[in-house]
Amino acid sequence: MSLSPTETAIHQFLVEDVFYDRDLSSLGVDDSLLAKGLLDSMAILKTVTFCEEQFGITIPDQEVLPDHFESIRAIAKLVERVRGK
Amino acid sequence: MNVHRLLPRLVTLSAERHAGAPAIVMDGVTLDYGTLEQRSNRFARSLVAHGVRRGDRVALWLPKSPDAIVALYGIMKAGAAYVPVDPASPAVRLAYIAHDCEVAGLVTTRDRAASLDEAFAGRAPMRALWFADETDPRAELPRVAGLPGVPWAALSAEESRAFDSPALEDDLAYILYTSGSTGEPKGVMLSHRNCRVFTDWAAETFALTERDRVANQAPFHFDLSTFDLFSTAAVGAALHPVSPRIAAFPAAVAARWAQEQLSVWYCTPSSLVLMLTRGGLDKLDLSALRLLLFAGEVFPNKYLRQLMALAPHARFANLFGPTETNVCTWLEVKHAPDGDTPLSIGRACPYDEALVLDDALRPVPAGGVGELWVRGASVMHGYWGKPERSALALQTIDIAPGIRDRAYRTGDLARVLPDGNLEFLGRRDHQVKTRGYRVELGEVETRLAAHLGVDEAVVIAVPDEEITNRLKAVVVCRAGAEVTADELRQHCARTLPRYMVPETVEFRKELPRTSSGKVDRRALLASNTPKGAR
Repeated sequence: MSLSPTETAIHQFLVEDVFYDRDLSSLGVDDSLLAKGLLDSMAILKTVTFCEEQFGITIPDQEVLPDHFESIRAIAKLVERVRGK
Repeated sequence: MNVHRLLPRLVTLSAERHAGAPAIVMDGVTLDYGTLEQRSNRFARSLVAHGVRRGDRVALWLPKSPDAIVALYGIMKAGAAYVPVDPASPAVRLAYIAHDCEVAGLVTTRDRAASLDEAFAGRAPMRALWFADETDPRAELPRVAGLPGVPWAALSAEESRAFDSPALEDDLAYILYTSGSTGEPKGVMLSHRNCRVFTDWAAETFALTERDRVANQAPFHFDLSTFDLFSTAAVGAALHPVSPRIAAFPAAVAARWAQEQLSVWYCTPSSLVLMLTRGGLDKLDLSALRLLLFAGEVFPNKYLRQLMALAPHARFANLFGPTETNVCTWLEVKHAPDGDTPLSIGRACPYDEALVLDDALRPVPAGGVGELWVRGASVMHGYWGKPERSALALQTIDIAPGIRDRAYRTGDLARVLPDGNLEFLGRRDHQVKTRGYRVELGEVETRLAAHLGVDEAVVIAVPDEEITNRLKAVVVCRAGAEVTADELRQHCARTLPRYMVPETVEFRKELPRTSSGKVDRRALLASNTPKGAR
């Protein structure tokens, strides 16, 4: 499966900077980040900050919701949508 | 035998009064009091059938769910103490705690079996373990340290009628592990009586009724959860635990609570501040909120004022106390203090006495600063398996001329204000709070120093407006060692809970020293200017 550049960047960030203590190199774009409690509140804040800096966007607080952080694909979709505005 | 003052009696009595009333409402699922009572009776019988006896310990290591609550009541009914372990902690920490207090049983979920099996390395203290998410009674279950798991579905084979609990009110109800300065977590032992003096007092003082809908944000290994669980059950109100799926999203939690019209919230200031700054709390309908309690950290005045303005009709109270005493002082907050005047922690709750003493253990004169000691009915039994630590923390001292009693030395500095209220002035040691969690910097430093490439490590708490503190490690590497920040954070995360892993690591050639040769923590802190609010 080929990843979009946005998905690739988010994947790399999560594996290296957020899940650094687990072996998640095989993490897929559709794997749930929430079902197994992989993302805690600190991790979400870090991910939001990363996306804002990496993609030059501002993610409104009311968009920081479970559905938009369900998977790498969902986060990428959020980034693209905010970037398109 | 059914001792009236046991925690699980609260559910039994509420089930007798109104079996059909909602006890737990979570993710669209409602468990009524009758069902909670029956399921916990079944689980108590399953525990006993697997050899769990009065005085044993049973660990909980699973995400928050109605079944986790069934489990903790069942454990207490069986006469054992529940030992809730952070579900986000690594399995090796669970294994350490399980061995430390020699648990007789463990309640967990299937997906955790593999990491548990590895962490126990063939040697586990339990006689049995239960998979709370296994709904097929005949499922083939993974083994942990050779032990077969009991599927939750098998509980339906147990009888649901009233369970005759062998426990007494001074038996341990739960053991909460907190960070330990020497590098190992320590288990705070609390009895049914210790807990109920607080939860019964709170239910009465804050006039909880069966019409209340009570939020539960605190995880069960955090003592704020005891109010949520047991003050709510005392009056037969409905508990609304936050779903793990939304717990990390302040906007989602705030929206859910407003939508479910929750009337009572008990949270850390960190989580309330995040709801204010990032959760859109100001746009929600908070008309159902009638009581807001907070504890665990100092509430920044600026945000407390904002919060009180959003819910002018609600009652606010600041609850204070370490895990060792649960809540021991409290303050009804009529209005947030002006300017930078710190919010007081109020006065002792009626079941405790708060003493501010000098180093010779004499009461400090009014206005003076001393250490806070607490005596009374909520004070813990001690630290599990640590008689020396317990003897230091719990000492028999003069309470008044000629009157001696056992008191807990909090390590907190306090001042008695002219109006009799107490002001909290910080710690005597290196214990800090981050997001409401209590962290001994020494525990993190010990872990860092255990890395082969580290010569010396200091962890400092950099003040933060939203979450009280952020942890930062300052590390000196051994000559020739190549160590990265990621590697050190990974090393910490293998044994420590996430909230104890330093967010940032700074490498230095040497650490600043005071004239006496100690590491100069003040200099390190001063060079890390606090971040402003967002």
